[in-house]
Amino acid sequence: MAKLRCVVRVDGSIVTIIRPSEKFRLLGESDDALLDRAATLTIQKNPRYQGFTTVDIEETDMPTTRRFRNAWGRVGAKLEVDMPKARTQRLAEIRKDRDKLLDESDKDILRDQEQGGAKQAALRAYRQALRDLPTTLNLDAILTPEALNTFRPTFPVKP
Amino acid sequence: MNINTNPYPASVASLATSLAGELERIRFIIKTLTGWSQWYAHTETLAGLIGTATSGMPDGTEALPGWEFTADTDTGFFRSAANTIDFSAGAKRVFQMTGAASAVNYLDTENSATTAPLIIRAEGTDTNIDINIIPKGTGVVNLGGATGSRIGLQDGTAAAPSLFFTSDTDTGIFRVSANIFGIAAQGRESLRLTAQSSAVNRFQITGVNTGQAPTLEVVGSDANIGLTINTKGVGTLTLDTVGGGNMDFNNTGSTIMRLISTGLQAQATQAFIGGSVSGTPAAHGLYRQNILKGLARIDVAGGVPAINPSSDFNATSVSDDAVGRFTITWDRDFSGAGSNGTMATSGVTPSNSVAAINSLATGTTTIDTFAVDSTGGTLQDVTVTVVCAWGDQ
Repeated sequence: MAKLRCVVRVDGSIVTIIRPSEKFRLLGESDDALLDRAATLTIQKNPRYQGFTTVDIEETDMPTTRRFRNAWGRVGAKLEVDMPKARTQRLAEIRKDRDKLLDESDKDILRDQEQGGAKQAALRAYRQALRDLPTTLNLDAILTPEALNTFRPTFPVKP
Repeated sequence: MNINTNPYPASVASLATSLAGELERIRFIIKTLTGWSQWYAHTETLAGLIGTATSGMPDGTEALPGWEFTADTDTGFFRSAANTIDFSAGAKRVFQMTGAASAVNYLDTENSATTAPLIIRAEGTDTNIDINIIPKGTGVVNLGGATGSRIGLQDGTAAAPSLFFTSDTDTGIFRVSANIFGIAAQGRESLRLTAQSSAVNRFQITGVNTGQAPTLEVVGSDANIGLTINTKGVGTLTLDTVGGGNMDFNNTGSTIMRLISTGLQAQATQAFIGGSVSGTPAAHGLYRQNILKGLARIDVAGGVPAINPSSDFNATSVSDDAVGRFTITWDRDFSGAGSNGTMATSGVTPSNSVAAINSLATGTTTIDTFAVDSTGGTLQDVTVTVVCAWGDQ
């Protein structure tokens, strides 16, 4: 398939990307004709795709990994990862990992209290460090999706 | 011998030098004196005619019959062999009768009055007497003449068909009853043909050239002719492709449905199963409700999801809505979003993933996929998702 039809918002963000079914192709129909016919029908049958701009983009001009698919956006004749959106997504993922550690520390505090509370202060400091972690990160310094994908924050060490 | 010419024409001056020659000359003289157009005799013939010989007339030949007409001396009858009488016309044998030494039967012919048939009849002392007409070599027996002439047969029976083969006398054709024609084999009726009194349509069976299938068809004067095949009682109608061949249902030459050894194969979207289930479905029954109406295997391998062509039926496109969410647009819509019964099966890879219906519409199905792991219900791309759709259309 040479091209796919993208339904895009004014800000360039992607509503959807339409890929025709090969079996929908009529005998001898060109790729462009197939795309046009399938995309027209698809938009007609999906009201939520209507009212937006459409643009046909070569598949080779799209990201090859879906790691930050929800951050894809149109840049000229290409689809690229919108880095601010990707950083937001990555930060949300880090917060999710952080939240999991916070949940685990709740049990640690209860367990420590049952054992006399010797680690209470250390555990409170640990939990505060977890809460503060996102604010300490500067993802703006990460400039590519690949680097953002491989970035791993340094989480505080549990006492 | 014809004596039409002078055995001693002017150029031959001498008289005959033998008795035979002299007799010939005398015969010529008699012919000349009497004015007879021909006069014929041999010495031995003369002896026969005057009754002095021990036998009757001479044998003769086809050119010179033993008994001839004076006005047509090469037409008459003669004896070509013992116990044989031959008839000759124009010096050519036209008929021969032979008598066997022990014969008791004979052939009788009878002329007829107006509109009555002429008769060739076997007669004799036997109760039943066959008549054999035997051509020579590979010659044929032709019956009938001008257009409109016909050959009539007695009714016959299946055991003794009216028209049969000499090497297989209980195989042939016969008349079953009024307006019913039967074909018998081994003395048993195997096929019966009949027609309504005003029939205008009929069967036609056509043999064809190599590589083609013979045809059994209906033809006739009607513009549209159906074909009915009835079984008797609870008998089963069986169509058997004995060699394992396909069974095709065609429309104007194009196959619209094919039955193969492993089941049914739709050749085009025109294959319909129209029956709607009523009550408890029959085991293995095929109804409009249980026929798959849509199938799409969605492969996600890095870029935009794609419909795998090997598992694609009735899909127009797949739309990549987000991570873990895609929409299939169906080519032929379902009857309604609320009642179409469209559903997605969680045929998902990897195995720790699930698929769920996000939304249904008459022509679309949106699917969400999740990875059942630490992401805890977050939409997640999965490698393979198979979506099946049933419902009224």
